[in-house]
Amino acid sequence: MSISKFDPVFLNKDWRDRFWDRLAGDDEFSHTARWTTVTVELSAPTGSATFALQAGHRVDMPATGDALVRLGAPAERWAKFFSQVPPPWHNDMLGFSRRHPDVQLDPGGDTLVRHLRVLNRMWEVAREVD
Amino acid sequence: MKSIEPEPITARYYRIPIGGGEQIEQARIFVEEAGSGIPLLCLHTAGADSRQFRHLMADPDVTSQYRVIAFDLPWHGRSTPPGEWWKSEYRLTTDRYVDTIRAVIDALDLHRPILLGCSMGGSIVLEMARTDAHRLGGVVGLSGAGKLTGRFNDWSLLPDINAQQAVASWTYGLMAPQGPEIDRREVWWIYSQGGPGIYRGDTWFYSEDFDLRGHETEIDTEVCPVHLLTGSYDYACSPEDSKGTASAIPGAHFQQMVGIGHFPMSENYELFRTYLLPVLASIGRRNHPTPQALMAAADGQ
Repeated sequence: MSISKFDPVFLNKDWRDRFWDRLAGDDEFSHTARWTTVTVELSAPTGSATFALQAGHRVDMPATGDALVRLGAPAERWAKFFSQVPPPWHNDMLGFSRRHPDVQLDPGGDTLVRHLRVLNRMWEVAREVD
Repeated sequence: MKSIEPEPITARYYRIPIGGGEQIEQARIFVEEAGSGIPLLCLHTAGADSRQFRHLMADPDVTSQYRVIAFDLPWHGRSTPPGEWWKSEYRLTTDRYVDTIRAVIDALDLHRPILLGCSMGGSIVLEMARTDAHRLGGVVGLSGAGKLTGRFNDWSLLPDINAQQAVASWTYGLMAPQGPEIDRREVWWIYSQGGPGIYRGDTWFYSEDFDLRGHETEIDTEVCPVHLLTGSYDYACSPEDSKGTASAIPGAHFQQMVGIGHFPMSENYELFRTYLLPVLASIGRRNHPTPQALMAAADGQ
């Protein structure tokens, strides 16, 4: 699948690899994610990407069942979400989904809340990736 | 070795009766303060405590004119829960919140204090302006509005959710990313120390119980000035929410705080004070007009 510059960054494999490398070296993530097993699927109209953790480590085989969070949005919203200093209501998953009708968080719920600290940190690190 | 100068904040515990009749409760309330002058009574956010106002209390431009007072509500911070608290679910109601603020004002014998509240504190100041206008010098509501929804949830009591981290992380996202990280992390830290079910119980007031709609015109801003300030990043109480409430209250003022979130006095005090100080000055001019202002008013200017 070819990726255009207008697609969200998470559709770019090179970006994903740089993100995982950066995350692996993050001090806060290293100690807070040790018990985190969750899969996050980010989607846009042109595609989706999965970020799966097992006990805080990257895995290729995502979890199933209730350890799943799906967040979908148009490309232009993702561009703001992943910008270095996101504009209002694009800096947090819950605000992102609550305040924009074109953003869907489903499923989320208790799984999202359960892993919120770690997920928040993942996106903070993602915003540091070129 | 030379002794270290402490911060200009002192603290006491007060035993205060709250409410009346069969509903009266004896509460042990933690109160801290700094400065002297016009009393500025600060009301912390849901699930938090008076530590949120420590930057305000260390601001000499404020404390040189105001006696800044902040207290921990019962069940919060260093104010203990009342009675046999373990036997009941905590839910803050509008009536109980009003009773508590009145009790603190009475106990400290405050004359026409200005109320400065944030989040649930930013909403209850509206009720206080409606019911106790003649006892107050004015109200400043941060991140508050006449009716809000969406913050009351049960998940923080679920046994398989670490509420200590989840509540703190849920509120963390309400802040603007521009604020100093060390201060935003302190907000997170304070939230991580809240008692079980306390944030949830407070949001019962903020998100369910309190509803000013239809009663806005009962607030007399000639007696009690009303100022609402809300941050552009706040998604729990949006600037539009607060602006709508202010528009419905004759004579109330609203201002959006750009680049700041739900906890302005804690997450980015340096930016917040640029909004707060003019508001306090405005209330001060209103309550204590200069001779020139009085003459101008008499001349119909």
